[in-house]
Amino acid sequence: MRIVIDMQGAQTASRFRRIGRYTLALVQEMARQRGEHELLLVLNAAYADTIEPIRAAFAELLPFDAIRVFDVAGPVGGHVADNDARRKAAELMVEAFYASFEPDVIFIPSLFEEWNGEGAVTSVHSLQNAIPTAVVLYDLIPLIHRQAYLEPNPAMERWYLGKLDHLKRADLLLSISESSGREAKEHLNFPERAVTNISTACDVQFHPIDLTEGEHARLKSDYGINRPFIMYTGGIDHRKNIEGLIRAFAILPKPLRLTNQLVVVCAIQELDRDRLLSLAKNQGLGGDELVLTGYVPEDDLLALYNACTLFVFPSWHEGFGLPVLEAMACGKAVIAANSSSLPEVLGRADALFAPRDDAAMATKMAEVLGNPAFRQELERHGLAQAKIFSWQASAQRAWNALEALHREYQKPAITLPLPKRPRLAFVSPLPPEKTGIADYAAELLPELARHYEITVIVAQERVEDAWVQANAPIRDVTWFRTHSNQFDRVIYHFGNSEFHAYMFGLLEEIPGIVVLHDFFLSGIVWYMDSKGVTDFLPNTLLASHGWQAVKDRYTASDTAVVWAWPCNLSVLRHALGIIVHSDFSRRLAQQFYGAHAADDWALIPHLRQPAEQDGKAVARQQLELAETDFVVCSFGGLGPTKLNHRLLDAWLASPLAKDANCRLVFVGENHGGDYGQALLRKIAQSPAKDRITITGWADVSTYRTWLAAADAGVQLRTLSRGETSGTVLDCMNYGLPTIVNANGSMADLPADAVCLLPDEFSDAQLIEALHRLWQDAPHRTALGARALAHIRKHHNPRHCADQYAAAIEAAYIKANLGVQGITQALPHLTPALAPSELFPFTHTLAANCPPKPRKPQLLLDVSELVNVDLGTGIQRVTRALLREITLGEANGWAVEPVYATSDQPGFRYARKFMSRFLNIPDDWTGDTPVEAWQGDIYLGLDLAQGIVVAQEGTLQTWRLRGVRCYFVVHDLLPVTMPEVFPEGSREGHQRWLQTISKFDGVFCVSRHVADEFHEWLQVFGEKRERPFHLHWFHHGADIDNSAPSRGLPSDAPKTLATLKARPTFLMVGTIEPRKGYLQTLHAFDLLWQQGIDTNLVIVGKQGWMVESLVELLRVHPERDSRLFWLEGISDEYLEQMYAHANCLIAASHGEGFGLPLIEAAHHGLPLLVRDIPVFREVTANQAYFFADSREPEVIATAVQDWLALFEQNQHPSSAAMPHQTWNDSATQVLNAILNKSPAYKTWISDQTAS
Amino acid sequence: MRDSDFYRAFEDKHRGSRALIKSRLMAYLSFLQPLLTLYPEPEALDLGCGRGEWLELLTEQGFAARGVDLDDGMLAACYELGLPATNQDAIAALNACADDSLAVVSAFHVVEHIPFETLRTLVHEAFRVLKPGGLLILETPNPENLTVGATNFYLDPTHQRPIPPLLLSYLPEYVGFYRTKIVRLQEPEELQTRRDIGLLDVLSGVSPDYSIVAQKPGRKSALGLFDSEFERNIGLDHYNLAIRFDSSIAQRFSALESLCHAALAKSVDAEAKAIDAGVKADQFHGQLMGVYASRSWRLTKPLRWFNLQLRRLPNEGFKARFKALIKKILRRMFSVINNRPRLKNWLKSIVYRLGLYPRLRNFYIKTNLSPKIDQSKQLSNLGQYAQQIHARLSNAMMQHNKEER
Repeated sequence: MRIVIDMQGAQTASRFRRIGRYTLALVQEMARQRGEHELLLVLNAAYADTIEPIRAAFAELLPFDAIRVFDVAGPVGGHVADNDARRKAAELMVEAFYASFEPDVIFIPSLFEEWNGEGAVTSVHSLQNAIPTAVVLYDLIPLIHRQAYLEPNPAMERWYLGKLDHLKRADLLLSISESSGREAKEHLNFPERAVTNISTACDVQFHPIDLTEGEHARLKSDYGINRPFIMYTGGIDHRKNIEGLIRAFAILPKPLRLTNQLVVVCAIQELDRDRLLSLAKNQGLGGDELVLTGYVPEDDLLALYNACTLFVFPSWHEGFGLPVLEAMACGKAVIAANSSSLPEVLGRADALFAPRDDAAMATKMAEVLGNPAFRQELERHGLAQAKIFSWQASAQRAWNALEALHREYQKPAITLPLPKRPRLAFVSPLPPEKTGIADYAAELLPELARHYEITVIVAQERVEDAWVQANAPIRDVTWFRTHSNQFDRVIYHFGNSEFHAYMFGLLEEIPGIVVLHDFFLSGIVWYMDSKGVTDFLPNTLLASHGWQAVKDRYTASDTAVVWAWPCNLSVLRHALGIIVHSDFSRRLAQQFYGAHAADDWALIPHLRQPAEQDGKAVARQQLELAETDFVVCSFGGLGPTKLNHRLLDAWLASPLAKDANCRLVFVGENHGGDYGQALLRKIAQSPAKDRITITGWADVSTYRTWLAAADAGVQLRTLSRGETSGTVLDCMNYGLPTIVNANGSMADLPADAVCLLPDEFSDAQLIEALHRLWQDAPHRTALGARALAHIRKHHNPRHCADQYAAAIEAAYIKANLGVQGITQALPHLTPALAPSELFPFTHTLAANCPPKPRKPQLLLDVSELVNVDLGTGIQRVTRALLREITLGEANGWAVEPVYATSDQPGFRYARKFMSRFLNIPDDWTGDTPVEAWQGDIYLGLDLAQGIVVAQEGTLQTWRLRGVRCYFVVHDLLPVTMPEVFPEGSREGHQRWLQTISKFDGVFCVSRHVADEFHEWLQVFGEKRERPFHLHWFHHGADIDNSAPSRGLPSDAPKTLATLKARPTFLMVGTIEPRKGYLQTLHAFDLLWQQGIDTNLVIVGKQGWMVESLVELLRVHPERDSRLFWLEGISDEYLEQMYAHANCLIAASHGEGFGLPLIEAAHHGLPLLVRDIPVFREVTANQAYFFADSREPEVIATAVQDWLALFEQNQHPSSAAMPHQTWNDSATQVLNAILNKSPAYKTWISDQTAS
Repeated sequence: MRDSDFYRAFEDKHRGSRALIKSRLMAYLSFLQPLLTLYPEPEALDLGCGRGEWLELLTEQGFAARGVDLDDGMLAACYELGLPATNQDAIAALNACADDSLAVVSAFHVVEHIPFETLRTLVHEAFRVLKPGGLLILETPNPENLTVGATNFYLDPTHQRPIPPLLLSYLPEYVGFYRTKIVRLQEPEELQTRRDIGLLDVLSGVSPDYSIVAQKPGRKSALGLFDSEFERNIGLDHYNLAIRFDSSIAQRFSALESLCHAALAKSVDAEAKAIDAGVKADQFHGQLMGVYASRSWRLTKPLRWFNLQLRRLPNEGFKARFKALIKKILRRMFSVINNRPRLKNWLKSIVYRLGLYPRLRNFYIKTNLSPKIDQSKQLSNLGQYAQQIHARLSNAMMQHNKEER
């Protein structure tokens, strides 16, 4: 059983009250006890702050996906009539949201949400009656005491009666006591079986404790309690009868009264305080005899329970009476009114009194206070009685009741005939259109008309079908567009030919059931594309199969590559139900759109009107065939995918070709291109050419004559795309023994009713099969008979039409629980939804009901790249990962680059940018707003600090909805070494880190960065409910795959020659203080002074805070003789540098990764690097290290030492340094994101430190 | 003098010469160009065609254009030029057109002459008769121009009431047009770029006329041809001019502000040093010190906030920052209240009793202080999937409403 539980009771203001705690505690316990049952918790996004705590509360109990969040376009509070239209629309939507999970039962623990609130919406059977709904009933006190609670407050009355109406539609009430359940039967006329008491429990913290002297003293000083006391707690409310309690206390025998205080524990308003104190005074109570504590904290409440002598609860009416249970759980003597639920909670008749009789109450109090034995007896009883009530017991009862509800409730079975024939629009080509689907439709119509009042919708000049003309109105598409609401049902027949082109747009406007005669539909979509509907194909490919498919569409030379992609996604998404003729189509859907994509598809065999069986002689006469001829026929239009050439070759190679009685006939139109010509040539060249025929297009009657005349059929296929093989069934229907190969849907044919060759058959196998059919007459006859029997049994038209009706009705029942149902219901709302409200409503509806089928999206944020590609190292990384992830294998995911700006909320799909990035046209697409749903993942690939900070709101909205958000972190340097960055960098970076640390996790470019980030979190991390994940990955070393730039300057050969003259040291990276250029330059000045002859090459653009260094470089005496500074060179030239240098110096004081290191190693260049942790990590120690000091001498010495080793070839080689490709990097990231590899570290805030 | 002659004379005097009018109408040509590529010899209907300048222009461009007008004096001018115009009521002319038959329906300086109900009918009918992607153009005096709105509009005694751009652009949106563009026209060209904007410019420099160009839904690829036109910003509105007026005044204050800035910059330095010290300290002292550092971070928050204000002040001006400050305080207040239901209900009941609730509520919603998610109010802000749903919902509502009627 799958059950959806509405958790709004734990979100609204109720969360501060008992109802909120009840909801949370009960559902947590139900989750623990769920066993085989599936639980989905539904939350309201309007109460954003409550969602993380609730996710955390269930983190150990339920999978992440079990918590689902919906949006509401508010305000929707039922206390104001202004909200009515919005509220009613939201009620429809919340039910559609429940129903979208296809639950067996819906459970609403708190229906009355929320008085005076504006965001909560609960609903029972406003949209649907198909899913049984259970509701917790706390009490009906406002209804029973209308005068006191409702009539003085019209807004409250309006709201309450509105909610009550929903309550009355519930299929099952779970009451918190026998007494409240009884009220539902008495006041709302619920039947016995629809109400179950599941009771309630109190928090475990209520238990007996020994109070210390200090605590007694504190109660005395804080509350003025200085002697034994009688306690009451609860609300201050008319029905609570505190006045009665005070009067009864006043008439206690004097000795008892003087030795005890009366303590009323609860929040109290001034007005009530004055009233109660003056009542006490009138009753002769003075001084400290009555204590009104006001609000007390939880801990004090527990102490007070444990400190009191007697607990009295005199209420006239309760739903349950939780304080009674809490006091008993603390081991106290409790007496209470004999009203409503209190007797069952207390469980003891001699502890009850009549609440409206002050004397009786006083007598009972005196009895306990004056009789220690009785008091102890009550205390013992209380402890035992309290054990009966537990969350375990309540949850167990709830489960039992819900299971019983599920058992009792039968899904509405569709019984035929339907009570009334619904009006059905039948959209399909019909004869005389030259398509098999037209003939099929003509056969289906007369049978389907038993169930529906049919109008045919066609896009053709005339319909030549006697039945249609006699029975069904014929309308065109234009008429249908404006009259669609005259129909109860719509059915479309989709096939892979131009006869169906208009249906794509029509289905989008007017959804209906789709009969998918062909799964791929790529032929027709390609046809439309070639006719100028240019945006449909690439958009379909992107939506269904991602960027690789779009790239193929524009770049693949062989269209067959692109034919590998189905183009049916928009049809599947707009269809209200899908009917297919073979299981093969279902398998294809699972293959392309996920395991559950075809769960509710209906499989209905292709119907066949029984063919006349004794027409063979007449048919042969008509076709001028001799009785003795052995005629092999292949039916249907000719083409490469029909393998007609294989049949022709096999037949020519078989003995049949040599026998003058054997004939081969292709019944159908020849292929119009080279393929057809080749067939004709081959036939003309063969000696048997007079016995081989291609008939050309055969109308229905000619086609049937050939079927009747043939001795055997051969129907072959390759590259099947899920189309229905009607011709095979025709052969079988005429009792022909038929040879087929197991391609596509033909593989599903029963092996004993056809001669089934393997999908990839050999010529020999086909020749053998032909030969046997020819020679073995009994086999032939038996096979034909079995084929006929199979058709009669499974393809009976009447039976198939019944299945159609059942499938259509079932699909409409389901569709009416979702967007379709809302579309139907919304126009009828009273009051009507204002036009201006339609946008927000649509917005939430789209957010709540994602399209189906759909793959989860992997949203790659490349904002910085889209807005301006600065060509920095970070952007090189971004481009490399973007390419690998979008074009690589992200199986089952729709990878979509997205971007935002810092001045407008929301992200857009970066489709224009991506088209340019892939070098394909971009006129087919626009950058529409991103729509994200539960299960999607966002990955901030770029470093776009300002934008991320500005978009925090959007990302938070997504995260609430169940979108996990991650970021790539390149370094923390602006925060760890602010002195080497321009002013403001530190603050910007800090703010960015602060923002991203509120989401789900980060991907750091090295383990070192991950460690630093973890340390940063210890200091700056904000309080969070669930762990933050830290992963790391390394960069790729294959520059080729990071989309490198090209070009060499004219003086390149000269420069490169100079480098050959002496040992050359290379440094790569932007000129900025952190990189250690100044220190290195000074070191080389020392070396040159000492007469050591070396080159120093610096490759990098000028960065910040290096004006004096740059000046130094410009005017340096060695400039362009032994010192080279190359600014802004291409990646290609850089490669040349790597190839000509002898050693790479990495002198940076801090790096996130150090891309030049692996690029150098990739070129076999040895490394001389500063000894810092990240370089140890990246080089795996395969380098010569110098100490992390600022002295030029350190580097000068290191260079000399290295040169000495280099001369003896003893220097550390970088060859063994591990390096990987960008593809490996992308795989590392994807594996981590898709939960295949665990996090390197996790972090959660120290709850006490916050 | 016959009435009809009066009108032509009036128009000659106040709307300007034929050549002038024609040159002004050129502004619309770029909207029309794509239609010529979409439809061969597209049909256009001009309501209230007057002297026929527009008809002439359309015909030159290759449209099959015809017009209607009720004023024979004006029509005479059309006849003189051999332009196809007839004496017919605008609504009657539209009623006579078939569904999806016209590429352009236009009405220049007509809508301010007719009752609002008739205007609604006009837009409804135009939607029906336009082809997919077809354009509806309605031009009228622009009441955003204060001189026009307060005086010049009433020069014409047959004018009914000025129609604000938001109202006129909402009509087609409501009826189902794919998009609507407000095009402001005829402002002095040099005003676009001039720096020193005076009060007189604010009062009378705003585009004196405007039109709405509304496009009927069509194929995406076809609609795409018009994107650049619909995205282009045309004309001057009062908001723009007022802002520029403000900013030129604000410049006079800037000297004063930079003085403040220099003085306070020192405190920013001090802050940076304090933060640096905090970070360095925690590197040495591990977790315990970490807590201190985090506290220091929080302690310096007001300082950082102040720093941010300083940086934003010159950019956004005193008024905007002051408003933002008030908003920040209010938002904090509302958030505190929202999280305390008892306090909230208590406050609510007081406000109710004082009769202030509706006003406060409006203010609360208007100032967007509520913590709710930013709701999309525009079709273009909806994602593709949401747009499809929207189309289905509005279609269902429309069919339903039709039946109700």
